[in-house]
Amino acid sequence: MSGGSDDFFIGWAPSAPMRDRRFLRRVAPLGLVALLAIAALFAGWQRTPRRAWFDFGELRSYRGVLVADPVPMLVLAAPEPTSGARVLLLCAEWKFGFDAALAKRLHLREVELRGTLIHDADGQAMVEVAAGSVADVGDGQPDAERLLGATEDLGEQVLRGEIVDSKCYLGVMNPGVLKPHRACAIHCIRGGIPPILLVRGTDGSPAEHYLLVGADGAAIHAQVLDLVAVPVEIRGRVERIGALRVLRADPASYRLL
Amino acid sequence: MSHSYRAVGWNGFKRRYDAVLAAAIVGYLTVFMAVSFAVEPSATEEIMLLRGTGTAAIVLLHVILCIGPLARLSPRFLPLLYNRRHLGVATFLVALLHGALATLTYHFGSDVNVFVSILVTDAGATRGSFPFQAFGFAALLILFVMAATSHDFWLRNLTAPVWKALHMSVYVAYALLLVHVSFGVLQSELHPGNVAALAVGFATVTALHGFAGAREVRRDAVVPADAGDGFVRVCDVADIPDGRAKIALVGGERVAVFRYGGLVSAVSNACQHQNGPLGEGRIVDGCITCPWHGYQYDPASGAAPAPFTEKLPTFAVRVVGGVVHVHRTPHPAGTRVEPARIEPPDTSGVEGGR
Ligand code: HEM
Ligand code: FES
Repeated sequence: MSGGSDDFFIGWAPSAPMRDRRFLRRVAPLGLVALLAIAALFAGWQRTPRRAWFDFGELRSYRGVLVADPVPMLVLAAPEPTSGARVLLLCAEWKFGFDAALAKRLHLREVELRGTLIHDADGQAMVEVAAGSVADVGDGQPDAERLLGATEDLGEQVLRGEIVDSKCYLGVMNPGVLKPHRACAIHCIRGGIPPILLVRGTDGSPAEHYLLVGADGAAIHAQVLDLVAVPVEIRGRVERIGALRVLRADPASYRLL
Repeated sequence: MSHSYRAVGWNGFKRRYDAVLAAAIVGYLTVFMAVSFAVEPSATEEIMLLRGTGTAAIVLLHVILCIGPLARLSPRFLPLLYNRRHLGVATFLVALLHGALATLTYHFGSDVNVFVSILVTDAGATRGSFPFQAFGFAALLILFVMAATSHDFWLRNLTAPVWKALHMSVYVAYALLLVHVSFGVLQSELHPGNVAALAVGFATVTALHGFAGAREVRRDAVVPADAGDGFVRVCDVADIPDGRAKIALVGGERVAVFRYGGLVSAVSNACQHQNGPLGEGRIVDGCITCPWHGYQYDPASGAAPAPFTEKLPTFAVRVVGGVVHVHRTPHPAGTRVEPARIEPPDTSGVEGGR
């Protein structure tokens, strides 16, 4: 220790004064423990992650009937084993929807495709279809109504919730809701991924989901972008098609809450 | 040989500091990920990691902002201040990882450019869609510039005032991040602990700066009495412990008045390195030694010992009847001034001066 100032810390000096060393030895472990506690608290306070998966890296083959309306989906003869879903919504890689022209062309054809499963604990599922993997393998014209189940009219309803993109919400981004995810959901919906209205359950009742389509039942995308990830109220006609719930309403009538 | 700049070099203390810092960051992220997946095993890895790195970066930033005032309030914190540069660079790297993960996860993969996405897509026109990511982006740019110019090479080449001003922008970054967090994650993660943590952090930073600032304001409020011939009366010699200094506001500038052996010298209080408060330093090996990174100066001439070239403005001093007088007008940096001799109390003053 250089000359005569034993209680003065000098960074370049060979050793720190005793007092400083004692202080550091006491404060450093305390600081570390506090830091780890903060990490645990912030992590533990998260509420938006839910039970949903993206089976990334597991490319599987699916065979079923492709339905183009109101959104591209694959109807299976038997439930998909992982999710239990019989209807798989379809989307493309990254932030893009399934090719609408291809869906139109293959509407009601039996196809085989490869893709990655996206699914949640409520038994909803989607497949991110690998580019160029869709093969038309059918010859007959299967009966879509028989496959999907009859369309049931549940009447006009007023629903309050949040518009999310189906791909991220169903498991690709978990959590994939609200403000942090807003820009991403906008890209996904603009890119052709079907928007859904997420109606959160109150007092522990489960959340409900409605596929959003126009009043005429056609797919909608760009029309809802301004109202993504914010609280909205939508008045429209609810239909049940098999396990899917579809909400028909003119996007111009959506109300920001 | 003359050094064009003097870097705060590597040494054992800094290596230990960096090791502890690295362990702290890795430990933080490990705990954050472990708890996140314990709470929800199906959560997305990238999102948990971007949340872990985001929160780690802002916690580190709070530590950085608190060390300055803590070191002024107690010298025990000086060792933490000494290597603050590495803390800053580490914070930038963690924040960069956070920003990169957020960009990759939320912005990459559409047909919109990622920067347009961060700056424009995120900025909505409706209530509840006030932008937040542009604020994070701006803060990251500031942290980048600070980290990139943190080396003493830049300090020398940008000149100390420019460098100092640049590094004050850490407060701008902090303000931007308060917006980034308040209008971002706090709109979705509603556990009250999150808001409380941000509020406590802000209150701590503000309070510490307040205390440390108030101390200086109190000290600067003491206007030294005029002592004639352009000198002002600073304090009694007896008020300055041997090997230490008294800081006084003389002619609008802070001056450090050192007492060492039987002598008294006065120099500008601002260290040429990073404006460290020299008057809170000591005389070590006959040199004024800065409390922040240990730069040294000869008390009589204000010049750093060879081979170093930093020079401080010096002031004429005299001791009259046990009272220290300092001249209002500084001498050009590096001008040698004869130290005042502390005389036995019964003799009247002997002048220093030129
Ligand atoms: C390009 C720059 C940045 C971008 C694009 C960005 C983006 C984001 C996004 C999207 C979120 C929400 C994440 C979520 O909850 O899923 C977020 C949160 C956050 N960011 Fe940033 N950020 C950037 C820079 C920064 C910087 C420089 C810091 C701090 C040093 C920071 C600190 C935080 C914190 C503390 C949170 C809240 C915790 C969390 O959710 O991660 N961000 N940021
Ligand atoms: S400020 Fe760095 S040594 Fe003085």
